[in-house]
Amino acid sequence: MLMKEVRTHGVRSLGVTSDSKKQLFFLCAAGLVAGLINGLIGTGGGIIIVYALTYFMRIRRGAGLATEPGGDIRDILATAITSILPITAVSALFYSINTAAASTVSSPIKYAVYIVPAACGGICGAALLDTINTSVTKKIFSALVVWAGVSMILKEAGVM
Amino acid sequence: MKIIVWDIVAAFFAAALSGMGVGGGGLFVVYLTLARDVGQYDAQRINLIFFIAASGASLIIHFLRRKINFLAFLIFAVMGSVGAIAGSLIAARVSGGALRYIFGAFLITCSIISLFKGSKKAGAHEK
Repeated sequence: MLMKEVRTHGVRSLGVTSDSKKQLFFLCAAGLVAGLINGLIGTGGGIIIVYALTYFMRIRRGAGLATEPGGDIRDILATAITSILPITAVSALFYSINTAAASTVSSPIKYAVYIVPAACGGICGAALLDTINTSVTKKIFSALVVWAGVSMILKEAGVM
Repeated sequence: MKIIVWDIVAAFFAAALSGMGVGGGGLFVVYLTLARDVGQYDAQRINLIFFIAASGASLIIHFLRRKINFLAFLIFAVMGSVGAIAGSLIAARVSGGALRYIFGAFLITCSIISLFKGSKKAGAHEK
């Protein structure tokens, strides 16, 4: 059914001009990897989806289909966030089941304090996307995350 | 009290980054593990729930303002869910320390790619 959907709508929706099966395989593989990363480390699936979608939109632009919906970087980010939500829900469910034995949190309910600011922040971030330069924000964020990643490894190694 | 204020501030800003789509979940795990000394398994689990709240709320704006590619969404959601189940099974068999190394290495790799490559491609279509 999915293949039928791609055959009938895929060319228009994804901008794939030829070899739809190959393109479909790439999207499926990217989704699988995104889910695997998200399920393994609890984050990171979104960035895989953004990379995969950006690649597709580049192909589409190359094929002269730039006017097709979803080609703007903001649309790509929105599609990535929409896609990662069900993946995160599945990750959260199975991650909680599979790693329950390793948990040291006696009452996870106390972390409900994060829910409200998370929802407010999410809305503000989405609203600000039209007014800010995402390229600059992404660079600042990336630099911050490099520092954070190094800090985590150093802490685990006992250096920090 | 002071810790709760910092929790709220950290959650808000990490969620804002998530809502923008530039990532923020990773940074929130770092906050939980480094600043709050939460274990890696628990930090990742809390982050998943945090991200559902942040991205779920941001979708209100995205659905109104953006053009979502629903076919891509469908493919990613189905295949990603299968991958997520596999990923969580692997996570249960890896130690918390090893998971932290994997997490740190992933963050560094993706960020370096974003810093030096990704933004150039995306930049042509941004403000």
